[in-house]
Amino acid sequence: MSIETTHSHDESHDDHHDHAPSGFLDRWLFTTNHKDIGTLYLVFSLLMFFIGGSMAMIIRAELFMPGLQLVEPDFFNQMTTMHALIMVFGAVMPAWVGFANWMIPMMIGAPDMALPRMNNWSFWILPFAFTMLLSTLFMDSGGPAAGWTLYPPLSLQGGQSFAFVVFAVHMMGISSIMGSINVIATILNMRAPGMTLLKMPLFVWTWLITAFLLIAVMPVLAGAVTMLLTDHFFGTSFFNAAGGGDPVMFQHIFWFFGHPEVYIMILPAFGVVSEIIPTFARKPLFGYTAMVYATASIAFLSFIVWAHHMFTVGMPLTGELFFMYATMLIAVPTGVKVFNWVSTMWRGSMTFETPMLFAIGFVVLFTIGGLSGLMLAIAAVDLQYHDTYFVVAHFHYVLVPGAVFALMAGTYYWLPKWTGHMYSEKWGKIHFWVSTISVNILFFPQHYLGLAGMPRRIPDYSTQFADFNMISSIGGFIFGASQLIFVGVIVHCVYKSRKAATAQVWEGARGLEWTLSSPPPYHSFNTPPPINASTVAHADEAH
Amino acid sequence: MKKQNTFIVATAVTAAVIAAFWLLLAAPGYTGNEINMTRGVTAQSMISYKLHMIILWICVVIGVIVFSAMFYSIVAHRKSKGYEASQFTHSTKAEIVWTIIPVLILIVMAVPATTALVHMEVAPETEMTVKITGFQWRWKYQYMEDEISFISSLHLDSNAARRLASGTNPESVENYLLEVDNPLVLPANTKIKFLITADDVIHSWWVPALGWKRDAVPGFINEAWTEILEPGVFRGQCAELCGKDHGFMPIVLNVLPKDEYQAWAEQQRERMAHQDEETRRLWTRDELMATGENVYAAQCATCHQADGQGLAPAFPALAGSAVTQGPVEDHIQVVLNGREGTAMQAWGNMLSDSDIAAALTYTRNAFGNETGDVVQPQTITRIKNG
Amino acid sequence: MSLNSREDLANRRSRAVKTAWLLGLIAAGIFVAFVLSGVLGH
Repeated sequence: MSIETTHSHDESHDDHHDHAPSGFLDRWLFTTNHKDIGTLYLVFSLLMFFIGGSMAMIIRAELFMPGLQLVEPDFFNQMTTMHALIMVFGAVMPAWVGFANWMIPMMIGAPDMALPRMNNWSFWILPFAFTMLLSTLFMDSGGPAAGWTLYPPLSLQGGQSFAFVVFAVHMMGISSIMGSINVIATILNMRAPGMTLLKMPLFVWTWLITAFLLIAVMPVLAGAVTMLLTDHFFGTSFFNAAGGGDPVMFQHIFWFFGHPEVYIMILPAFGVVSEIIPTFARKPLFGYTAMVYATASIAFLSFIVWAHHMFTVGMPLTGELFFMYATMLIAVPTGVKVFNWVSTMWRGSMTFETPMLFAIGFVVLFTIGGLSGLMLAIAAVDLQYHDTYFVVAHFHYVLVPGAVFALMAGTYYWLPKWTGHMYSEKWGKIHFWVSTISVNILFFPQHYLGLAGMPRRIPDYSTQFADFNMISSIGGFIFGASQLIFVGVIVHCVYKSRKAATAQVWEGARGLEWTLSSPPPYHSFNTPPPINASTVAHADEAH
Repeated sequence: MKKQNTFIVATAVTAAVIAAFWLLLAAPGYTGNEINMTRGVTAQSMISYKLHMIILWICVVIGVIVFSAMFYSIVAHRKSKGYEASQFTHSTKAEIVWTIIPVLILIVMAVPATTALVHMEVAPETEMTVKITGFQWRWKYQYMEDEISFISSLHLDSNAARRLASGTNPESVENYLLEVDNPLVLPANTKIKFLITADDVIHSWWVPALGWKRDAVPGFINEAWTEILEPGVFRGQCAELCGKDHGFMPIVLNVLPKDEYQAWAEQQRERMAHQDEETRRLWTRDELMATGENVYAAQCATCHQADGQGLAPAFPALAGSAVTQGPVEDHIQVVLNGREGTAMQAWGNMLSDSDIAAALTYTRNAFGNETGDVVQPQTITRIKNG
Repeated sequence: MSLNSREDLANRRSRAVKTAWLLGLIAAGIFVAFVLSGVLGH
């Protein structure tokens, strides 16, 4: 374990040196260092972002014009399914775990994560899980094509490759659960003396809550896919009506996992944005305590709204009313967050470096996605919206200019800290503006398509939907291409940039991570830092 | 100063591009694609539309207020203007206000949302019942009182044009992907109950003009109702991913004035009776082959392909297959009862006995299969009745 | 208070491991409960 200090020379196998191991395998494959594992997670998720993104390009290319020009419908379905699985489990979630690994020990004054060896394991499961998942595309029976929701009986029509999908999901789940256990164990046990819970940066808070969500719901998904597996291969009929099962039961179980899952992807984003806005507004976060409680309320509510994904399955009226009211209620804590961000900016002294631009882009576009979510909550109208492109537009607004923009904001924000170099501000800004414009061209017309009656998950469409699909595809191609700028900026910053970053990096930055050098020492805090007003990030002054 | 200008220019350009884009689409002169939800032709769809517009405008107003405050702050409270940051961290009063106000807005929204839902879900006394069965990738309609039933599939023109690189421009096909061979014919101004179910996987029956969609779940029967206020043709699609041809199972409603509907129903009853006679008589081989070719094109070719070569790996070839060339009894069983765990339907209750016999005869004597077998409709009836 | 004290380190470490086991058991429990509810509900 790397919480060893210079006093513990006698425990010889633990690495307590201040430098990274020199061998490539020692450094990356056998690493127990939170920063190296964080880097692995982030690089892995960037790779997955591009794999999942190229699937999205295939989808948008096929939808560019009416008629089938490029792929067969079955392959199209494999693309939509894989795009979602890869982006959710391979890109967004591991990216957040990467941020957690890098930042949480530095933010709470710890030398490393609490369980470094398990940390190594939880990362190295992932490449195997995704190799397995992607390999199904090359099998005879093809990849999964029933949507990432894997609804039976359709998902059970898949061939032998279905077993690979289920095991891949199991492995991702184990990885996530181990990562979450590590986050919770670290936050609860490794804080520097004086770092009380209500002094923790909001990113740490949102991750603590996210980790509890993960531990609660990943086993549920594992249970659901296990039952699919036995239904498919061992003749059980959990979800087979002919054998006395209930296909709708799967949807209940899936969304009991699935709704918290979408908050798992967005809560850490709330945390990152809550770090960035105060820094560039040069003003403490408004309503810190309210932000913590709002996050906890959103997490709690996420467990009692799942059936709003199922308003059309034929539920009793009382059930529909309950889930509608509970879903509408989520707008309250989410609104509190948005108002607090705006209040943090209010009468600040703002500058607009790339992280701040992405954070502001997040607040605006996530709010648009939140408002369309409120519309979807209204059960009576959802009978029209459900399973149309309106839904596709909604969840892409909260996930792309939502979660993904927050990931980019966080990357630009902490990249100088991680590497010790400044990135190119000019290219960062270009990346922001091109992404922001194109993401709207990509997703906004999809609202119109959905309202006009275009169902989701179709490879071809009636000619009345042609105009907006073409506009959306053009936006998609620009958005996809503009992410190459992101890679360019990162590669330049890591390998080429000559402009050294200071420890503080940003004038308004506050918090423990900025007291360390840039790049920080291999072990973050070998001695616990003093916790006082100048080292606490944006906690509520009143506490 | 220079930086600030660049930023303002970039923001202005972005805002202008996005605003121009949205306004262009919302402009009354724009004659292209529809951008809003249909008002529809039922009380339900009109309620849905109204509620949608109310909530949309509430959301727009909230968005405008929040974003105005934010952008005012972005313009006014910037360091480059020399604005000094204030250091306030909370205001209990403000936080209470912006917790309570959203709750009040939600309550205001919940009232019409609740009454609308109750109206949509609670069915009145209905005058007729149609059972809708979804199966890959067609709809079967059964008029419960009239004993009329038929299958509705994607129109052959669309079906040909939608093949990968078919060479046909979809613009040249009328109602591309939204046309069927047999539309669902319904009377206007009649309260109709739908019983919705599925045979294989979950589908969802959706005609936007009616104002709702309802999932078709195998093993379960969902109820829905409608009363269509004006005659006309209304189109929709399956809304739940149901396999490779999910995008190709449209729904077409042909709503007729009551008297015209009665005439249509009478005609259909005759057709059904004629079909019964057809099942009882002996068919010639040529008749079976000719009918079989049509049935095959409409029902079987989606999976097994027009040339009988199938589509590996999910859809086996019929040309030279052990089933089409093997014992005829086994072949009949497969067609009548389907194959569990595959997309092969149980066609026994879907098609008429004469159509099944014709398709069997055709597949046993086409694509180079030369069994010489002739399957009579009577044989199918006998086997079905055990 | 200091992290440098070996006793304190050992304490933190064993507490972290205990936390981890507890959370792992909760996760396993949820998995078993859901599968069992599927089996018994049958």
